[in-house]
Amino acid sequence: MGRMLIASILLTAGTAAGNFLAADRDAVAGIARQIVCYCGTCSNQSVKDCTCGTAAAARQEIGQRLDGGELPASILEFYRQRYGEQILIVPGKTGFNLVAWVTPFLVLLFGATGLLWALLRLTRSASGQPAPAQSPPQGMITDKKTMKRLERELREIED
Amino acid sequence: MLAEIGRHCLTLSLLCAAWAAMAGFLSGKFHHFPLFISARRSLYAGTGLLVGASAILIHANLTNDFRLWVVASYSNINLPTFYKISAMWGSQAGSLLLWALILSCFSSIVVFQYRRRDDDMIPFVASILGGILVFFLIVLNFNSNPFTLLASPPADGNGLNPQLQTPLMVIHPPLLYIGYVGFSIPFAFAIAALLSGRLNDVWIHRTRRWTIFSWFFLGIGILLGAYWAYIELGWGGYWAWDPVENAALVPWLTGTALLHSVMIQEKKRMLQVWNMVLVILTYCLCILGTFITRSGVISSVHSFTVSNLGPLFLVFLALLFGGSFLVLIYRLPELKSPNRLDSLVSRESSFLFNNLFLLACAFAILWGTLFPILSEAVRGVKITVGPPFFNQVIAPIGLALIFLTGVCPLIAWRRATMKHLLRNFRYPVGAGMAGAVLLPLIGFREIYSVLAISLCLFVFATIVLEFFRGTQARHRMTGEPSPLAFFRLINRNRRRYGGYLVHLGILFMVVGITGSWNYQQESTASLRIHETMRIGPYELTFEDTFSRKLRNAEQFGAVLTVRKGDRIVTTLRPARNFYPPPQEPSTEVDIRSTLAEDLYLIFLGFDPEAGVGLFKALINPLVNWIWLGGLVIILGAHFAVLPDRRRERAWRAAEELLQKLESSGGRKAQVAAARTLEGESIG
Repeated sequence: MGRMLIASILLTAGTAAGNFLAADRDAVAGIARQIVCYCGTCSNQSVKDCTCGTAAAARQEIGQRLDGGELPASILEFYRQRYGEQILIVPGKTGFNLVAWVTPFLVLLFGATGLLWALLRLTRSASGQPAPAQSPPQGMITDKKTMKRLERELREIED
Repeated sequence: MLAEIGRHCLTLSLLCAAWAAMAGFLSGKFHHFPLFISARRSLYAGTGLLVGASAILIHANLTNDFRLWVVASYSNINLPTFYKISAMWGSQAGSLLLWALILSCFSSIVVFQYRRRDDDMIPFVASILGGILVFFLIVLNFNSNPFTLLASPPADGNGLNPQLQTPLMVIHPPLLYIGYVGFSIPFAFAIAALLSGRLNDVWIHRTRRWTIFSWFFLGIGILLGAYWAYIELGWGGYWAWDPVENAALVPWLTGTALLHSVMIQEKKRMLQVWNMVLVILTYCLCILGTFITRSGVISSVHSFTVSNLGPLFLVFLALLFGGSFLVLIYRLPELKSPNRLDSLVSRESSFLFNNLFLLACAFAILWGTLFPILSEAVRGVKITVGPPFFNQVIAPIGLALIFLTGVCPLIAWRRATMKHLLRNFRYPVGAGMAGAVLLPLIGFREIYSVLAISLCLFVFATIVLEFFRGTQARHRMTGEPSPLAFFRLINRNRRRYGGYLVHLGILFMVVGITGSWNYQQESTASLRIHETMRIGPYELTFEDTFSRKLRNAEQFGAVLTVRKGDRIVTTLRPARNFYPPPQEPSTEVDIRSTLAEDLYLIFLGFDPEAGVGLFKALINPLVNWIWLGGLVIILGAHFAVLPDRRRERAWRAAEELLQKLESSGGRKAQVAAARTLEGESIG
């Protein structure tokens, strides 16, 4: 058991020693943040956040490419070519994918307009009705019966 | 053999549910009370059978009966007893059985509550609940049978995923199911009201507690899931906008909208149709939520392996949604209440804006979750919609919601005058602005975080003012000393002040989310023994390693001393657990928690030859305010639903009196009483 333990620790961590340090660099993190980890055991996490070995290896590769002088845009493009569009953590803002970004706000705008229109219609049909008189009671009350009545009315006013 | 008995229990309970559905419907349609009694008893019987089936399944787990497929797949001999019980809902089939059990129990409770009433609505309620049970029992009997046997049972099972072996994960599914299933009750009452023609407010009054109850359990279930992710999964975060997380959040949001708009109907008798729509929508989203989780339609970490469960659920969802709206449209002419709104600036309209933003939020989350499917259908290309999408889209809507939380309670019903608004908002707006100016000075640089916390200060001030002014008014009226006035005030208005407490809890959560999301710091290092890494104000020194034998795993960890300045603050012991194959090792993080921040330490690995350990440290500012907020919400929700004995007595007395008048009063009294019971006002 002991040897198996050491072997498995080595497998997960040994070769990754240098990889984790690479992730500290801001430039690597900036790119790693935009790519989904494809290890299959984490959910939707970026290569920057995931603590698995696959992510560590990916961060090292990004670091090497940056050192080699590659631009961030071309590194992202490289991953796109290799793994498909799903490697990007969010869809781009072009073409059909723009629909993804824009729709929620359109729905909100449409809803807000509809609501305002409905509210205006409702208030217009009700205009002309007087508001109820709300006269606050004055002075201190000691009579229990009146107090109970006031309590009831107070609740009705404040509710 | 017990498994055979289990199978028979499932089959018989299907028959009971089917009979309850039929008898209930006929009883309602032809006003035949004995048929309702029969339907009721059928539901009781079904519950008994499902309790039996569940007990048999748990027993099989406890006795290591690996002839059953689910036991062999999700349990093993070495699994602690506590987790052998919870392994019952670790499998697809077992969790469906749990769902059916909870639904059956709730249905029995509801029909028991109204057993003596010769009522128009309740038979239909029994019928609808029976119908929903029929669906789940069909799936259990023919698609995912927990009593399926293996041809050649193994000597030992696979065991439960180690990340599920924590008390949090044991109660997380039952809490969520109580929430999901609980929403079937208001749904059943709404449809029953439509079917029976009892189109007054009675269905709302009867289901108010069930709505809060379900909303509460769903919310706590989601929060516990987030807490589990934070403690167990070990990546330093608590929410990944995973499809399954979203699937639970969306109905919770529409449920929150429902809770609020129901208040308008209770106070102003408006918006009947809208509330019906919200109830139907919320329940359908619950079913959609469980469909997304179970069918694996969007691959995620949570999903069970893809099965042919999907089509069955889709058909059920279509029937539920389509059928509900058909009945609603059929009754639409009779439902139109005299909607009256006195002013655009009134509490009614601010509540409606609350609904708008909550539903926009729900839509945005659902949209982002389902968009990959849409994209694949339209372009044939798979894409990912990950956390940055949701963060960017939800943030502005979230800010608007915080703003409304402060504004709504201070706007009067019917009409708010300018003078009134100015008086109410002076101090809160001042508090918010002070925040906006001071926060950047104490370290909050990110614009969204400044906005969010300033708005929280604004809302906090409005809540404090509400308590204060209420106490002051009561003190002036009655001469009671202020503490007594305060106590009596909140005790006589439990719903309102419990609600304010819930809002306060939400504010705490917003503060926690804002801090931990925007200002997280991280540092990764490889250290030899006695070497030190730095993060923020802390210094972590790697002292030693340790290994420990757990019940079903080998634990290997590191000991690190944490210093701040020159004093030792604590010792952290992050570790990794190694389970027998085929299971992956898990990360056991160690955390130092204070109200200000969490110091979160992950042990990534160890190279024994070089003697080098790999560590990732995170600082999560304000994160514990999230869990604290959860506790405040629990307190507030409990306070809000405490029975108000005076109000209950008054309501019941009124109902009885009116029923007496309807049956034995003079002609005018009879007509008036009938009209009141039907929901119209007395002239």
